[in-house]
Formats: sequence, structure tokens, C-alpha cells
Amino acid sequence: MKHLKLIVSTGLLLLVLGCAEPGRNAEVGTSDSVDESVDVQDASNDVRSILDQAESAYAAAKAKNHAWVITGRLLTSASEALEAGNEAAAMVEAKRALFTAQASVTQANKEETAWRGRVPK
Amino acid sequence: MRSVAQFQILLLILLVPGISTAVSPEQRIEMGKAIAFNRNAGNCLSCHVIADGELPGMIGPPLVQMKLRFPDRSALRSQIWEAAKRNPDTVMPPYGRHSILTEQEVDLVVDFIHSL
Amino acid sequence: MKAGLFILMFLGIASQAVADPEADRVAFEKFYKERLPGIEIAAHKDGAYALDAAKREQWLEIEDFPPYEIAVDEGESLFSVAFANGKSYTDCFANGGMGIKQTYPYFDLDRGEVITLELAINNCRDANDEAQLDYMGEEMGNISAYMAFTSRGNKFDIKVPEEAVEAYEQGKRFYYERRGQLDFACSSCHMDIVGGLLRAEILSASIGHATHWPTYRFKWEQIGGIQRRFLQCNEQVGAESLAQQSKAYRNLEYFLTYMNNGMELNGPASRR
Repeated sequence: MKHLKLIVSTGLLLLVLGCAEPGRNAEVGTSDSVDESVDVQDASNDVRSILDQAESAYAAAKAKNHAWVITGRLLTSASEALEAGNEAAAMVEAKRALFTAQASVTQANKEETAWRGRVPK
Repeated sequence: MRSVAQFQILLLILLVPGISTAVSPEQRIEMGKAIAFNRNAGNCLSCHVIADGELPGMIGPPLVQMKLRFPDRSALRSQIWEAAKRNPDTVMPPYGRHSILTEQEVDLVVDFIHSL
Repeated sequence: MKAGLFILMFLGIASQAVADPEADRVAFEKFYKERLPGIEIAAHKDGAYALDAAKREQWLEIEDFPPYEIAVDEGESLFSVAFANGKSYTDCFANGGMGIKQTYPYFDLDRGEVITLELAINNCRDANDEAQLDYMGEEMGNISAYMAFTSRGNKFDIKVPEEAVEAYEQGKRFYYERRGQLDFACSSCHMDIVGGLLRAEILSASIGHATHWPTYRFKWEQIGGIQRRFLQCNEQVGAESLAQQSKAYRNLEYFLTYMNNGMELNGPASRR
């Protein structure tokens, strides 16, 4: 568990170091911040759009009683990261949320018929 | 604590593109082992006997002589990624296909299991 | 030729639509007889303790001083307390509520849904203007424990009338569908690898899964119903759990209990 946390925290640290700086500059409003604030806006919109897709796939899985715990957790943490202004971390989580949500829908669809093969005769 | 710090440094090296070759095969195996044994990650011991592992389950085969059983590393990777590809009735979770582990984590686990 | 094909197709669809719960149950029983040939079907009412002598020994020692005894006593006194309107639980159930658990869950034709014992307890409270009980709470556990206790030794006699076939089929489907990030069906653990060792735990047979509820689980430090176990199973495979007494869980309980028809009730019980 500790190691896993370290993997995650280390990854996030790198992302923060690598990507989050322009965002801070933009908030401060320095002279060269115009372009960067557009970038931040774009990044934020990108995350939003992926989050929306993930939310809708998650809802579809939920309607079939096939939602996964991990998707709900990732959606929450991605939204929190976005609100905190950490687009890069939010993007990583949103993408994984979308991936797991889609996989849960795929599972639900496959199981529409697959279960029949498991009933003993 | 020292080993934890070491672990983090290894990960830093691994995660920065271009210098990942700095991690030795032995270090990768150690990292893979940590993921495989973690109850909240690979949790391989739930079902498999593995050398060094405490309280193993016995649902799947003991993980020994893996290079004999899987001369081709990619076949072992595929088994861990999505065991149902080979056997649709398997009860082994699809570690890669369902994003239970990340791609990098799967590769580390493959390195470890293949070393057994 | 074409007409013949259509007739064949029609027969194919018809035979799929006509469910036969009793044929399902016979095949279910046969599955466990063949898979675990050394174990009598009746013995599975003790779950994993039917499968391992050493674990059974430890469990029997616990059952000498049963951790659910207080729940049964408390349940008995709660059961006899009159509601504000002067009526009581005894007015809601057949035979005053004594020795009736073997008929639950049943399909209520008027309501068109599966009624479990816990739901019936809350329906009774509703009908008498009493507040509903929390399905995971102690009071529900105690009352259902007392009702189960008075039903000990009786054998499950669940009926699936024609109107109930859809609910039964929904429950059956839930049981056999893979679910969650780990991609497990109920049948993955309790049929495909039944009797296997998951770490130090032995996977129990589903024939016997309905007999012993509510159960005092040391993991919970509390007595709880079968649907709490459903919730836990779902979460263990990374699936989102559903609400207690949701339609899907009631249908699952209906199917699973039908599969236990003819088995002796031995609840409440204790489990690790």
C-alpha cells in the first residue's frame, strides 16, 4: 500500500513539476500570462470534456447495476484536482475514469448473454 | 524506511523518459515483487503460491519455473493482462484490460513473475 | 423449408422463455454433488465449515457460546412490544410470525415483487405507522434473528408462481453475471472454484448460502442479513454495491433461496 501511494504521489509530483507552473503564473496575472491563461482554459476544458464522457459511461454502467467502485473514486478525485487548478493530475485521473467506465459498460454488454453459458444443465 | 526511499528514487528514474535504462533488471524485479505482493495491487498471493510469500491461496498454479512454462515473455504478459484471451472461463482478473494495474505496473510484475 | 425453419426458431425462443426453476435447482444440486462428492448436500448449511475439519472444530467451539444469543433474546422482547396503535408484529405475519422463515422470500402477487423477511418487517411497521428500521442496524438484526431462531429445523419451501418467473430470472442472471473490476460472478467463486483456498479462506458452496441468516460475523462485530453479505461480495470484486432491499438484491435472494429449497434452516449462525 505504501509503495502504491508512493508510485502515485511520485507520478503526481512529476506532473505538477512539469505542467502546473503556467497555471500559477496565469493566476498571478503577469504580463506574459495572456497566452498561458488561454492554455489553462483549454486544458481545463479538455479535462471537462473527458470527465463528461466518463460521467455518462459511468451512469450507463450504473443503470445496468454494473458500475465499478474505482470509477466513482477517480471521478471524484479528478474533479477535486481540477477544482484545485491541477489540470495535469486531473487529466490523468479523468482518462483512467473514462477507461474504467467504458470497460464496465463493455462488461455489462457482454454479460447480457455470456451469463447463460455458466448455468449448470 | 531506507528501502522505501530507494523505491521512490527508482520510480523517479523510471518515470523520467530517457533515463529508464538506469534501472537494473534486478531493481525492476524487486519493484514488480512489491506490486505483486501488495494486497491492494497485484494481490497475486490470494490465489498463487509464490516463493517468499506468506499465506498464499491455492486457486491457481504455484508460480514456479516460469521461464519453462512461458519461454515467451509476451505470452506471460498476455496472461496477466487478460487471462480470458486464452481461457474465457478463467477466474483470473484482467489486470491490464480492466486497469487494475497500470501498463508500467504490469510490465514490472511480468519481470518479477518471469524471474521465478 | 422456410416454414420449418421458422417453427424451429419459434420453438427455440419459446423454450428459452419458459423458465423451469425446479430443473435449475436439480442441476444446481447435481453440480455440487459432482464437484464435492465427499460432502452431503445437507451439510452445506454450515458453509465453509462443511469443507474443512479443522476450521469446523474451531467454529463448533464458538457455537458453544453463540455470539448471536443476545440478539435472539433482544429480538424476542422487541418482537412482543406493542406498536403505538396497540397492534404488534404478530398481527402482520402468518402464525404470529413464529416458524415462518422457510417461506421467505416470496413473490407477492398483488405488489408484483419479491418480499424478503426484512422487507416484510418494515412493511409491517409502515402499515402500523412506525418508523422503518435500518436494514444494517442492530434492531433489524435482532428481530430477524429471533424469527429465524423460531424457524430452525424447518426446510425451505420457496415457490415461484408463473407471475414470479421474471423476478426469479433476474436474480439468476445477477448470480451468473461477471461484475466489477475483478470480473467475478457469484458463480466464479462459489461454483467454478468452490472449495478452493483464497488466502486462508475456503470458498463455500451456494447450496447452503441461504440457510443461516441473519449471521453474526466477527468481521462485522454485529449480526446482519444476507444482503449485507451481497453488498460485501460486490465490493470485494470492485463492483459498486446496491442498496439493501433493492429490487436486484431481493431478486438475487429469491433465486438463491430457491436453490436452497429442501434444505434445513439453521439460523442465526456465526461466521468469521
